[in-house]
Amino acid sequence: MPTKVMNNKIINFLFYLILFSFGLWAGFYLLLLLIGNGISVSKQVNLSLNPFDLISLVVTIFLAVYVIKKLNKESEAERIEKDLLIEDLGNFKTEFGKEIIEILKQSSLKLIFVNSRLKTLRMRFHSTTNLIEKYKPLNDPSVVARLDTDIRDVRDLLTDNPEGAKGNLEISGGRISLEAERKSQIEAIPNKVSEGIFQIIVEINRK
Amino acid sequence: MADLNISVSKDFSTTPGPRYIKEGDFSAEEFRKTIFDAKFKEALSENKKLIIDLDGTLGYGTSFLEELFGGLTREYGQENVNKTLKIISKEEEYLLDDIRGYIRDANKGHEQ
Repeated sequence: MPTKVMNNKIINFLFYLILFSFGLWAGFYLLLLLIGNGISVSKQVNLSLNPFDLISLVVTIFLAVYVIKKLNKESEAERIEKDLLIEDLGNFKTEFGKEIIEILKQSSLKLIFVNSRLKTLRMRFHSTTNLIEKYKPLNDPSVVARLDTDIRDVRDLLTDNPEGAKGNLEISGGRISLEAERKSQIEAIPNKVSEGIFQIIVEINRK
Repeated sequence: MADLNISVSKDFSTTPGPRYIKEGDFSAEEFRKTIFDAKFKEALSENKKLIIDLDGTLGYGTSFLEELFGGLTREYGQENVNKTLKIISKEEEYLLDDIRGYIRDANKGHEQ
């Protein structure tokens, strides 16, 4: 273990030990005040040591330190989980936005390429949301469903030409041509996805 | 009685394409005409299940899925499609919800 980490652990331990000891003595004198015995400082110092008191003190200190360390560890683990999920969501948001920009830059798109990229994105999204469901289930799971709809809408807008429908999307020779209207509909989606992801991140952070 | 099985990636293509044959290779229309509809009819007439595996491809466009499952429903009706077809999609489980929607919407066309 690196020396710096070990030093930090020792310092933390000593800090909590001193804090607890101080708390113990402060609590003792407060108790005396409460039961009205007053405080007097004797000229004589009684140095007798009750072994049972000593054992009790040692055990109490040990338990206090142990509980504090355990709580710290759990709190740290929870923070790490949150940070990983938030980072993953942030990365997805960035990747999704970039991918849409790249796709829309092209005047003619290969359908297979679009299918492949959208499959990867949507799978990635579901992989992250499954982890959220497992580790930090949301109070409002509908925000995930809405996000999935937005992501699916991109696939629909890029690859769906319903029977009988005409205009703003054509597929020929396995290539997609988009009209301006369809492009602007697609362009609006990354912002909606960003907002949805922001909502999820806020909720995860509050947990 | 043994169910029938069909895999899009192994029996047809790992790169499913557009809706219609005129739009490009490996279209849903081509898949239905060459392989799928015949198997579906066989399963339907013999009261078997047709298990279709969607895994192993590079991805599906909406038109392909809609033509495949929606088109099937427009022809045979939702009841026949639901009782005969079993869809496997382990890579993309969310496709099952999408497909249910296509079948539901297409059934309105069948009823008309």
